[in-house]
Amino acid sequence: MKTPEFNNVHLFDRLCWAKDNLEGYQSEYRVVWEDPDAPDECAKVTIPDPNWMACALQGGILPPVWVYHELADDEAKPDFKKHTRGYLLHQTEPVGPMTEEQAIEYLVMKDIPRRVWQDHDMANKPRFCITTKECLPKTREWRNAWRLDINNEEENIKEVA
Amino acid sequence: MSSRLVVNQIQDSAAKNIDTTFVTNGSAKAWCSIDGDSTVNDSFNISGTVENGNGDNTYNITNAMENATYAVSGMSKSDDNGGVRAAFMQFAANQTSIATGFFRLTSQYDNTNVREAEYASTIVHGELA
Repeated sequence: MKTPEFNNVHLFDRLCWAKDNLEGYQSEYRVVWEDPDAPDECAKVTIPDPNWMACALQGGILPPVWVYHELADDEAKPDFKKHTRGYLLHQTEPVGPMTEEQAIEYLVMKDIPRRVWQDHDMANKPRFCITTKECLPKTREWRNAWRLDINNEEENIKEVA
Repeated sequence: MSSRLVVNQIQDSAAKNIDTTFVTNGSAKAWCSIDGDSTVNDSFNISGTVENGNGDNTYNITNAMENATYAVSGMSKSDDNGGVRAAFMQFAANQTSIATGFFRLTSQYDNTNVREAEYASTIVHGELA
């Protein structure tokens, strides 16, 4: 199906069209990342949305990723109250069709904080990796395994014994 | 777009008029249903989720909201079939849990532990950017 001409069409309207006309695409890719500003938090897993993936693969719907960075910069200002440059989402020419891998890279830059990926090649250790769902453990218990449950100390001691 | 309907007001059968913005402003701007491993079952205006830990999820929005004072509601289902437990959702504590492009919710049970839900659903109301 061909994407309609969406220049200057509100992004919300484009998403409505996509919801009506595109089949969701459930990607097997996952992004595992750590936030250097929150070293005590466990690793996080970003999971792409199937309807968003369908938009990315289709092309002509999503704005370029720099638009999100501009809005994030606006929001980071101390006197931010509300977005006044939301038109960037709607009036910037949409990006063309992406491969699944390109879509995941776009998603990394849109949804993961810039401090995680911007200088990743200069960091002492990797902060994120793109992997597949089957490479992740079925349960996520291991990521919280370091946390002590001080409220149930006696119970924990019994378990260890 | 193949067609466009331009109206400022809608009238019901009792001749009562309301502005169309009354309807558009009150409609949900995003919604999402995820399962226990944070995979999205279905959604609208969501680009992806982040599993921050057990029962702790961030939802990223495609068409950002105008400000960070929009409303989020959510429900989750307990995965504990051994007994009847309430499972509810709240904004994650001690961190930024809402911004124009995302919100972060935890799924908690009645014993206050943050735990994975069998599935969870959320709805967003507010103004779009």
